Amino acid sequence: MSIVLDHVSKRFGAHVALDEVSLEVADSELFVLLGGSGSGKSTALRIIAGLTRPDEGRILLQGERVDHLPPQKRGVGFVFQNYSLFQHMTVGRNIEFGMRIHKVPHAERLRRREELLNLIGLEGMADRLPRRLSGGQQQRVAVARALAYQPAVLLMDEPFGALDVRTRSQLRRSLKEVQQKLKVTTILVTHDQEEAFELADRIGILERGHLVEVGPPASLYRRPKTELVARFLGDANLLVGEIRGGRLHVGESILTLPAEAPQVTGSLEVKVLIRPEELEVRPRGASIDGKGLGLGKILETLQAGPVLRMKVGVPSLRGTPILSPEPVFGQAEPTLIAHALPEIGELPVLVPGAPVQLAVRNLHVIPHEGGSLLVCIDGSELAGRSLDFAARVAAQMHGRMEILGVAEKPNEETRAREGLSAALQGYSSEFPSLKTRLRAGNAGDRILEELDRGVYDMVVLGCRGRHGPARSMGSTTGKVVMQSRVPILIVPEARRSLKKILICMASGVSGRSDVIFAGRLAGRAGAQATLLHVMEGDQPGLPGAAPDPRTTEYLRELTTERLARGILTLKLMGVPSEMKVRQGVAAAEILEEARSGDYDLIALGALEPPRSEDSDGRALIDVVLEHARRPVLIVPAPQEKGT
Amino acid sequence: MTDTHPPVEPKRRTLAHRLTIGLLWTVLTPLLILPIVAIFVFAGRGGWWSFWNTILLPEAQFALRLSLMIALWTSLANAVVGTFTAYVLSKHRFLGRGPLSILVNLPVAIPTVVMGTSLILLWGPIGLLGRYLVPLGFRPIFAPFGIFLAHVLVTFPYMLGAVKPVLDELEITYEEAAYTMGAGRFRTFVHVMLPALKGGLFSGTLLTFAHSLGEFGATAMVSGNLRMKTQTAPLFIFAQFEAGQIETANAVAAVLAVLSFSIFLFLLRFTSRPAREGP
Repeated sequence: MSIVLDHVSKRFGAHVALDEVSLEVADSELFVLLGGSGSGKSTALRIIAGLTRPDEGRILLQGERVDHLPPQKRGVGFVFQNYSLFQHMTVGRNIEFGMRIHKVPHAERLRRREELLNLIGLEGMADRLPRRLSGGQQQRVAVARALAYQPAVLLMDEPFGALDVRTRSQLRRSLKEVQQKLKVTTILVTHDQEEAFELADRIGILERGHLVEVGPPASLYRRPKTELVARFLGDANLLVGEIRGGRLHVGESILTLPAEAPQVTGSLEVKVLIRPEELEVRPRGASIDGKGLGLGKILETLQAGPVLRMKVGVPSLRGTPILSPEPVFGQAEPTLIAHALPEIGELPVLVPGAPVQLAVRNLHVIPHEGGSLLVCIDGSELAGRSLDFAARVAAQMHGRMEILGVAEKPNEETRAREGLSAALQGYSSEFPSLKTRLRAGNAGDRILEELDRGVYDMVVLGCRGRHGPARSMGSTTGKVVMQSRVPILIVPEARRSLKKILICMASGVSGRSDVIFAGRLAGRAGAQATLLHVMEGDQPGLPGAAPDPRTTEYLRELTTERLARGILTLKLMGVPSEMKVRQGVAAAEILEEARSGDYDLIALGALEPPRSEDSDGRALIDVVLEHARRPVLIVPAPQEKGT
Repeated sequence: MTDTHPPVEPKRRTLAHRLTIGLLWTVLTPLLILPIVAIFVFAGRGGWWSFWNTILLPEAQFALRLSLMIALWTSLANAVVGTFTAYVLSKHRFLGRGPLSILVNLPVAIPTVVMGTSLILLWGPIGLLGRYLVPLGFRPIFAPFGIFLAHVLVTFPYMLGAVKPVLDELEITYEEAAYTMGAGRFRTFVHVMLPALKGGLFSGTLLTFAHSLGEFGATAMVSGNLRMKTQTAPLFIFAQFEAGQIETANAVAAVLAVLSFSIFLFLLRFTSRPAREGP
């Protein structure tokens, strides 16, 4: 192994850049670390080069530990995103720099310089100054310079980031050639999937400091082990299906179970990945190769180069949870995406509105964890109750939970430890994989850090203030509600089970993300949902003024339409639902409805993070929490998509 | 690279245009141009022979030489200390960095006479350090070394101002690139940083030199103004003027003016050259 990272961690203050990353790169392999910004990929590279010190873990280069060595002694070539060519030196002197430092004799230096210039196709440019070269040429000089003193490994940090698309693809090819010719072990860091697929022998996907999955590009794309990778690489149709009697049931269809799928005796819920190009879309009546998924209708088309991208409505999937493409608020029909290379004759037929038949050529099955809950406890009676409720919800969702105890002061550690071990005893029979963690420090900070690991679907807070069931948001809860990007379930008083959910559309920005999340939760837990909208009587800012009847009428229509779209969304997820409209003050009406309908959960949308302390949303959440006497779910607005 | 700016149409020679230009000359002539002319007019009044004799006076010779020597040493000292300070302030993060970056620029803001006074209060016979050092034979005040100290203090920000922006712009990756290729800190500094700093260092040195050559306030306080011992050129000019030797004063003033003017022209050429070359 040329490069080995062994449980390498690095924090910058509270931010965890790398969390126990282990990685082995074989000799002369081209390994690509793929991840979004802030995923820790550059940090990993700098740690290998010795430019950043890891907090924990070991680094081995060519089988030798190098943790204690400065960058000068590690024998790595590094290509920076800005190339960092020395501007006052000619191209030749730049390439020779490393060799001069290593005291390579003059003749040898010249020979290797010319060799490298030939290799990168810049013969005769040795006397140019870097600033006289184009970006692509500079980039190639940077590669040559890093290779000149024959380092054991080559590290490249987004080497094509600053170039235009055409130059980029040219350079990728020439880099691959150079790398194969010199057989130098290379790690390249990028956020560009296309680049990763084109260059890599193997790809490692980094997400928030975790190395999620490693493998050859094709198998990562076709057979990812996790939902995250399935979504991260390319487009995906991701549905929940069930393996029963050796067959794969998705909605009303029965699909062929791939050979590598787990062998199940009873039944098992799984995630089914169908890549858009594996979804066959044919006009009705035409012959079809794959296994049938029933009939559908083309909703949208987009000709992207030779590929026809389609959105297809598939009514037979109603009630089947579709994880990707994510349902949009108000969407009436289950929708999948398909990419096709249609024949000329088919083109006039594959248009929006056209009825089609659908089939699946290939699919892949991913284990379905059924949601993962982080439960925070402090060992108090209240925490015990919320843990109880969380366990019921997790069980109903066929999900997992992890329990986090935080000791804010040293003397609280014993109590927290006792609480955790009691919890472990009480629930490990029901959740065999149950894990507990004890952390010290500010509870809010530790909880947010834990959530930052990005593996939880929901956080359950039991610790509401130090002094028993405090009747307002404690500082911990307040902090988490303000900053979490994961939905928060707060349990002032537990319920027996999760059967009825009240989804409030009066609060938050759009109320859309909470309808979708609460709908998914209801779907998983087999609960029913009520959509509530509260019409606030007086117009805010015009106290006492009688509302214009036309305005009221317009608002009512608008509300009804929004509610109807919400109901559609819930139906799509297979959740039995109804809608209600109330008139009055939002918080009061929500509480009244919750009490009279005896709901098990109130779902509220929250403002976008970072949410400000004094917003209306916060005030509403405060009031509802204070008086609800039942679990409250706070769903943050969706974070921006992408990397 | 092509010039993307549309060609600017020259202003037409309207009456308003002529008035504006005329006004500019009217304002600037008494403010800027005539004072410079006056020096040369007075310096040359007695003819070339008398100008030459004045310059050759031992006191004048001494004053000019002392000023040049002090300016030279000040520039060298600040080139080293200023660059070091700029490097540390730019590339390291440490406790007190913020206050320190303000402090090092303070000498431009404080009147030079005050800076001179502060030096006396530090190094003088009753000063904070002086009361212990003077008995040991270290007497910088009323000596050329004291003038040097004063000039280093007063001109410190000029070198910093010329070098630090270059360092701030220079990304850490250039250093890191050299490190990964095996170069240690010293070699990286010599081969990578110093060449990049060349321009800033050069203009910083010239600026320091020019300022040191003309420094009056702090020098007057610290030097004691001893003829043939600590009298710099500006002090000599002032002394001669007070004694009524206007022509002698003006002759030395003219020499100083010419010296500063040449430095300034050189600086102008040097700093505008890269811009003309283009990226």
